[in-house]
Amino acid sequence: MTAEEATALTAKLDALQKAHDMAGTINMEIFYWWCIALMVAIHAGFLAYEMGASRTKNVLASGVKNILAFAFIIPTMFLFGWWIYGAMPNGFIPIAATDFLPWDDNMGPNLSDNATGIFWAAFTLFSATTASIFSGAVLERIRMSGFIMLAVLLGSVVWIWAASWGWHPDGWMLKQLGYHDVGAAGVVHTIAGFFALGVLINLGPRVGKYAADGTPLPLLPHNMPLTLVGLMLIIVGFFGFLGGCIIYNNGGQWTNIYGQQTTLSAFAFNTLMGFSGGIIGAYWKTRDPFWMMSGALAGIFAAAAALDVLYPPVAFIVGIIGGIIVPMAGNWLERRGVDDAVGAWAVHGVGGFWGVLVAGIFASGYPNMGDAPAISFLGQLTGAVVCAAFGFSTGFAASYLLKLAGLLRVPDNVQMVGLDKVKVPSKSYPEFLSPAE
Amino acid sequence: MGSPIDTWEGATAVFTGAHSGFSIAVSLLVMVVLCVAPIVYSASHEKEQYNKHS
Repeated sequence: MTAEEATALTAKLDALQKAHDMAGTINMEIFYWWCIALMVAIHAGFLAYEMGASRTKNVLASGVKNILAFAFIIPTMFLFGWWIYGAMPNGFIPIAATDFLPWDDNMGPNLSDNATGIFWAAFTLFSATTASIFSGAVLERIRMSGFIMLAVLLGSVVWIWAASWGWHPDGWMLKQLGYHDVGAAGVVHTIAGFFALGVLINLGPRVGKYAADGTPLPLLPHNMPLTLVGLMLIIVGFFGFLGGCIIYNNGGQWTNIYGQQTTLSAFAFNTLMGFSGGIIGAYWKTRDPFWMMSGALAGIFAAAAALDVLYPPVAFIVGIIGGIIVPMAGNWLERRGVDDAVGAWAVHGVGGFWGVLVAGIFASGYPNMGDAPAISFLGQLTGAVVCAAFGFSTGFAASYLLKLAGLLRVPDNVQMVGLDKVKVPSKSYPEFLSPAE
Repeated sequence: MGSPIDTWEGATAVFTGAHSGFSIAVSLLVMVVLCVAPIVYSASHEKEQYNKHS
């Protein structure tokens, strides 16, 4: 080979390498783009779920609330939520995270950065999921203004702060506890469920939920089939959510959020097994389709923290347990005077907590990357308690302040009239409700 | 605002107002106001409506 031929060959190889790298980069963007699109189905699901679970007089107000949560999370994640993720891995003292600031060159169209926008968007959809989880619990009696403030606090501050502790490569929960939560059982679901519980205590139950002696009374959903379809849509969306929890590496194996090698196959095995177990467990316990579909979510969350390593039959078993304990937790809370309209604390708070423990029970000893300790039951238990405590305390404190300011609860007489009539300028079922008009 | 580049060759940040601290600051400030204002409006509208129905 002559020198000229060698030079030409090298140039060709360089060009091929560049084309290969760019194809990989674009594949990465495409993968997350569709994960984000699928995650929007979570919100379509929560919308249907909440509206179905509401009584006819509140159905549109519930929808408006859910839609607004999604809308307000997007700009606030841009303004400060994304920065919190980058800056808070050590706890409460920020580290330098200039790449995460809203005025950084990467925070907008940038031809040298194919990653920031797509990852910001994926995290923003995770954030909106936390706000939607909270939204269902408080329906039919929370003021819209107070709700928006709480949704932004949860979605763009609290969960993302905890994600910085438990998901960030330098997060203190990872570095000190060996915390393992690849599918966000703790940093999304436990946080959101316990935040909702903190708010519910200050918000109080819907008018008519409890008899004078404290016995819980049924406030029936106006459209249970819509609620069930909504729950199934949430499941569809969770395939995007869990896909967004895995890292695409150009030219290499997938890794989980902690840099450990994994596969989408692992996620597929265990997501479906948890889903199936959750439904069967809840059917066994209740025979109620509402709890069966909620059990499906709880089953996925039960396997979520260790999706990358569980043996699929184990994911099925822990899913069954999740499907059994979640309705028990929901009924227990209801009997204690806390009106969680959709069982958000039970499904997400308790279901997520169980999922974090599952990783401690079944995945102890798996090594972490770098100097982080191996996965352990104590590390997982501590992480779950931190998530629950952080979610509960922030939800309780913020809602208490809103209660003092009179911005939390819709007055009882307005609840009796119905929120749609008072707040929403359109009608949900005009012919059915007002045949004379 | 306007274009921050005069060629696509070697361009990196291409969003409107890139490299202009003033333009970015104004956009962010307006964004903050437009996030807060609807919440204030919502609180005020709720109060008015609740009074009407009480």
